[in-house]
Amino acid sequence: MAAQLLGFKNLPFEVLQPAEFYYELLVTGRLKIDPAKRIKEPVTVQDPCNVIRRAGAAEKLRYVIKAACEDFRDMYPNREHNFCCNSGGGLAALSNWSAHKGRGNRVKAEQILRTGAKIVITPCHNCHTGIKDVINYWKLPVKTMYLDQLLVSTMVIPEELKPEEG
Amino acid sequence: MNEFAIERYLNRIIEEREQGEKEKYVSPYFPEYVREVVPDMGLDERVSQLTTEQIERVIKRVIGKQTARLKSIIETCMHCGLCSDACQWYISNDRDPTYAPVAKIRMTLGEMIKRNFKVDPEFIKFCARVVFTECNICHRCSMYCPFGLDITAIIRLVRRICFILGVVPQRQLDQAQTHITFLNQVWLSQNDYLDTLFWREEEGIYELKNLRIPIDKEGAEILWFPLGAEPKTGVDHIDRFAKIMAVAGVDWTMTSKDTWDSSNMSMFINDYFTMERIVRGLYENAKRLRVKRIVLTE
Repeated sequence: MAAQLLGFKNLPFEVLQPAEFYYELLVTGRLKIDPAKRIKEPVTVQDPCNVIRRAGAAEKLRYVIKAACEDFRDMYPNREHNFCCNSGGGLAALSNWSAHKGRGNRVKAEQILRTGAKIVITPCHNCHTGIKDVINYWKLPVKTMYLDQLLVSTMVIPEELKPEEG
Repeated sequence: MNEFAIERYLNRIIEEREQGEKEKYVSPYFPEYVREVVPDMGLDERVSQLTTEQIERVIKRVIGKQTARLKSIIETCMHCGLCSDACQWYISNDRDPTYAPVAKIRMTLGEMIKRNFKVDPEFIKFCARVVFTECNICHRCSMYCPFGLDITAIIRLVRRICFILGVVPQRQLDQAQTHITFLNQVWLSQNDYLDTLFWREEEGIYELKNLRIPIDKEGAEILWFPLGAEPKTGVDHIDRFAKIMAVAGVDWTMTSKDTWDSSNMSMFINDYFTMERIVRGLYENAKRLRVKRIVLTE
């Protein structure tokens, strides 16, 4: 729709979310995960509204995470029924309201504690801010991680790309 | 932890946090609406300059022709409460009915229509607080509504009214104005942006051989747009994306021209003109470089 309003009949290119793109890299074998480096701690994921509810990339996101983590636990409710991180819709910018945002998301703290995960993967900058607010307010024993962080720490780096010593 | 342990743990935290008497804000229109006072320049100071006539004119301009339609949306609602149970604000705040999505639209737009657009500046401040700090436009309530009423669309209309009147939380307004001036959200000039990319490329060579951050490479497979904050405060995202691309052997590029920022703060306050400028800029960058795909940052 937006394309027609801006004077394009059809877009001459595709627009991809990172989760979809990383899924494609893994499925086509361009990027490989090192089995020895896979994350052993229990992991859960916060579903970003735009990636999941609008772009519908829930399964692709889970494919990427399951490839890189050994113990993946879904929140309940999950996928397009997951709750918002409380920083969407421009609230991420409001740092002076962070206690208000943290208190307003008790349900997310419950969801995270119920999974027993130690790492929450936040594939969105807004979700990262929101989950950080929840963690700080409710003093949760978890840390956050981006999707690219996950891939960089677990992918196979070919010998010819490693820098020379010295 | 089991259910009871979680409940006990969270109750203990909130007791610790809620100690001591705090000043409360009570809405002059709805005595049930009681909240903590959060000082915010954008909300508190701007309302003192507004007049009732100004507000009436703005509301008429935004919703004038659609009044009957919006009224019918509000009146179709059966108060079944499915949207309330879908809202994390409502569930998290002891099921306080003033947090329910339908209450949010009835208290703001419903009240404006009921009072025939004649509302005072204090009411606009209250509306701005409801729509900007208590709703994430996450679309969860619209998803569960049995009538398919688009609650979030109405919240966005109220946001537009508040934006035209200039009553927006200061940090949001600041980022939206940065988009108007620089087309990114962090007041970063083009030189600083390009310098950051060169700097990250120099540093990255020590970590991966032949790591490149190609700029303005025509006909590349992927064009990557970072978030505004990445070149300014989160350069590690640029490093990590470049590493993944180097390992996967993808032909990628970044743009050197304006609108390199994939965020759109103007969308959240419904500044239609700047929204369009940002999306057009992103598309035109992709068209100029003849790329096959755009990948946005996380």
